Amino acid sequence: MDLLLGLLIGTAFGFILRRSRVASNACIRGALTLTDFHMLKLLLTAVGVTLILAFPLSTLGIVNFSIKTTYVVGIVVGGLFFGIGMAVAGFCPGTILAAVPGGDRRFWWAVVGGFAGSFAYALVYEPLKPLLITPLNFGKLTLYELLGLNPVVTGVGVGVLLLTGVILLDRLTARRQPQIPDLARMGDD
Amino acid sequence: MRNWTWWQGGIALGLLSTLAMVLLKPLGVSTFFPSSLAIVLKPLFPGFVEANAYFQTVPLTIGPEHLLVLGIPLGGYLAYKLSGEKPAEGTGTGLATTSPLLAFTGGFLVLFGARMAGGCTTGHVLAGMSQLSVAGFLFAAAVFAGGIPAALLLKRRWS
Repeated sequence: MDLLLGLLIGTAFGFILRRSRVASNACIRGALTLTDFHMLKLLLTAVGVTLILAFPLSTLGIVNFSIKTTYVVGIVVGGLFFGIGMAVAGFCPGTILAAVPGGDRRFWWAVVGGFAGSFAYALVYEPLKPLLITPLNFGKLTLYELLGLNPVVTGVGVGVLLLTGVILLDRLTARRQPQIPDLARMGDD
Repeated sequence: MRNWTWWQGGIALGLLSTLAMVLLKPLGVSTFFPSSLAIVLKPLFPGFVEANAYFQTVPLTIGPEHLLVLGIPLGGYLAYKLSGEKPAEGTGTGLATTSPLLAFTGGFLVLFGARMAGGCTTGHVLAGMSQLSVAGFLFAAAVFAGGIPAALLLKRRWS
């Protein structure tokens, strides 16, 4: 049952990514060159909507939160590698998988590279662990714990702030034209 | 058919992300890569996966998280068929400015970094920030700190 549910959620996820043009290397590169704000606005809207829905729902005890560990060195160094790779490939792990069907055949090389990269990390994990994961490890830290605030109020508050920020960003950047030509663009989104 | 706007896509993604947390667990993609690799390597090279410390930290049996990731290209295909999008091969701009070497290198760095950080744009940013996880905010800042200078250096190739 959970397997089927996973498949359905994944299918909807891939559908949304492709349908809303974020599964496009031009869109992602546009975001990183600060010339196309489509992906950033979409992502922050999604986070804002989830925050506003999930935190009040969590008071009913029906939300399965799963907080990741905050280990500063590994997350920052990993994030830097990730950002550079995202500019080079034009994709992140979810968007590449949504872009492969009917996309450029060379996209498959990014998927192959992904498996190679995970394998390489598996080989260096043990020696690097004392440098990356052990120091500055704050456990499963959340923003409301850090600030000593109520989780639901913080969740909804940050959600409202993000959505307000997105609307402001949209107004401020409305006149900018994306500079990287995007073949996946259908109409004027 | 035209693409969804940022707010249409954003609201749909927010609803899906909430639904995933209620019905299953927060969305995540990048664990699939080492986990499925370990599942395939385990019978092929007996002892190797068991001896590797990293592979012991990922799921070694198939679960809903694997099916979720396999669903992504399926959903991408449905959206592609529905949109009437043209195949993007053989053109010089936009979607096609990816050489096999750059695609491989980029994919390598993306998953190497994601595994080091313990998540990607889905698990850390979309799902992590939605749970107010400090790790998610930190990862998002690092991705832009690495990605923006790299993209600005490579920009001439794309436009």
